[in-house]
Amino acid sequence: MRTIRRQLTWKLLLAFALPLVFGGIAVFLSTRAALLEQFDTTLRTKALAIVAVTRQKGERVNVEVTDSLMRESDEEDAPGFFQMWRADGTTLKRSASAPPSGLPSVFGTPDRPKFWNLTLPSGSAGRAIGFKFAPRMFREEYSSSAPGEIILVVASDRNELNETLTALAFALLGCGVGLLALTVFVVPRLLRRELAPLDALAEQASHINAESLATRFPITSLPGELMPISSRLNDLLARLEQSFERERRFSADLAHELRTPIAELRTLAEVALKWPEAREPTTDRETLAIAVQMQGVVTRLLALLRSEHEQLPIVTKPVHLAPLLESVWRPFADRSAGKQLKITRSVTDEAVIETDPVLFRSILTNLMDNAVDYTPSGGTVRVEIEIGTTQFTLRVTNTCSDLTPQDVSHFSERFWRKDGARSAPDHSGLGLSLVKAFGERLGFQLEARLVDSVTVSVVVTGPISCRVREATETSLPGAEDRVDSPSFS
Amino acid sequence: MKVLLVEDSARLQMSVGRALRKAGYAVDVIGDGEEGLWQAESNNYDVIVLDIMLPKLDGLSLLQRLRQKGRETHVLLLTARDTVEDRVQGLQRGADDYLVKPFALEELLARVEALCRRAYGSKQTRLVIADLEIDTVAKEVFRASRPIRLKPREYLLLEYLARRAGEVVTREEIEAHLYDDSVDPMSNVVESAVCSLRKKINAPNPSPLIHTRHGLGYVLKAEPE
Repeated sequence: MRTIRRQLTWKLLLAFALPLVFGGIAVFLSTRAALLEQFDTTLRTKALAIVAVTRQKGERVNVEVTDSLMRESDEEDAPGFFQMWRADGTTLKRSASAPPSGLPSVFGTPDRPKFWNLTLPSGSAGRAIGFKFAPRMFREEYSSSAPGEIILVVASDRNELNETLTALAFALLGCGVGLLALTVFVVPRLLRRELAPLDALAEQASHINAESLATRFPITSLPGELMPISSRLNDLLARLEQSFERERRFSADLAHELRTPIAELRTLAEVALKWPEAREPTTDRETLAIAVQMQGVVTRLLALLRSEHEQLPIVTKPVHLAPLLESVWRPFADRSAGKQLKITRSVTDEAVIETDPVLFRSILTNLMDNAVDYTPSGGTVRVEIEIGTTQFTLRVTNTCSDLTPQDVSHFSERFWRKDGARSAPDHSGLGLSLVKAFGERLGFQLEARLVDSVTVSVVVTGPISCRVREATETSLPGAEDRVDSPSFS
Repeated sequence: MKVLLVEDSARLQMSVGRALRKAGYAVDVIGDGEEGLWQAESNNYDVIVLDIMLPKLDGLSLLQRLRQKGRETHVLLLTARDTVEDRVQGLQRGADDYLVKPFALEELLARVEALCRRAYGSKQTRLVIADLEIDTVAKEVFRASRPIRLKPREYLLLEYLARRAGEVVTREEIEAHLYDDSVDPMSNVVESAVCSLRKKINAPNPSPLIHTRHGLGYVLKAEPE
């Protein structure tokens, strides 16, 4: 498996090993070059020392060999060698240690002498310098003859140098291997220790499932690099938890909303089957009413889902609000009169907004349905529409009896109902959810607030000219249908 | 046997109430928690079928208050809430049984029947007094091995007397357990029912089983007076 730790280990090892190898090679080569230069300088000094003691007298050339030169080269097993030739190739002088076959005659000038490696008569490695020079003349010879040219080659055993270089190479190699071994040992352990918070985070994350979404990752105890990850993960978990909770509540509410009518249907049918002689004439009517009630719940749910998934087709056109309000209000007039409600409607005749008329009508219908149904007998309902320069405000205010600010904050939650018994079959708790969803689809905002202890107001605001987002391509079954039911309360 | 049904759904009130009556129970139906509590405290029911989500006073609070006042009536919770927590909470508040909506009517009747048996401290489904045998599941009665056809109310009266065999059962107790609120307390329905029942069970064997204790009530036992 490809892991950060493994990758880091390999890369860190490589990062250590490469500089180590190249550094070792560089140290070796530079040291070797310095030692060789030092060796060559010594060789050149020796050669120049021989040049200094070489004098020409007439055709004869004298070399006054010093004691040290003698010690170094005039014995058979001496480490130094030299040989001199005239320009015509005849040997002038050579050290006793020089091979019988002579040294190779390779030369440059005193300023730019030739250096080369060679094998000494003893079989060991050596290094030589060669150049051509003019020997000094005795004072009295300056005028009588021109100085001849002499080729001088000086060689020296370089075993000591080679041994030093070999020792250096082994030392560098040993240090390199040791450091590499130490790196191989230390790096994975260091990485494991330093990446432990990441492992702990992964371990904790691996245990999170739908039942443990309340888990939160630690933040303050983590390294700085992991803090934002942990913080984002916590945010994600919080959103997931809320979402799961909402879905659970929704499922429970939906199940509950359907259980009672199903129980009603079932017992009606079972009683009719078990005691057919006692079958009431109202049974079929009740059965139909239950089916209509369940159909209403399903229709509202589908409309809500389509709206939330932006799959409701939107057709915007100018909507004259006064006639629309009048038309929406008409079906509620009898119910309102039966409860002796005081109704006020306020909208100017010329009020026009550009929006989807079907969805806007549904918003109005739901708000009025709720207001008329939940206003106590003798209470007031006020519907106002104000048109500003760019915004309109639709406000439905009505008397209420026992609402609290906490209740109002739940208004637009799916299936929320003030009556815990959920006994009113005409309402399912989806009306204001639909108003909110349709409103959002049309770019409106919904706000519900308690004006005072006995008055509640639902306010919808939105642009006069509607801008809606395009419907998404994927669609729920039947999403192409228009929502033509006037009420989804 | 008398059952109180506390349920806010009008359709369930109608269908479950009818089913219970058809099964031979006297049934009082109430639609909200406050009135349900008042009825439960004011009457001596064998079983209360109680919805949890009720207007005015929820079923669990009703149950809790009933238990706090020392009422031991058996309670069957009938609700749309089906989580384990809901069931545990209901049973911890003092419910004797729990049934989730939607339910099979037969199951509801069987559970009510079981709770009725428990109300009289018996788990037997076959009651035997001398040569009288009552099958409480099949609702059949035999005397001297001969079947006796009884009307539902007569059967319930016989079963009630049989469950309290040897005890004097007052007229008021019979009214309270076998008749719902629609019966006029001044009527002689109990006397008529006892008379009719006595005739039917004495037909196969004239040896009397139901005896009248004047000024006290009735007793079902084998010994002749």
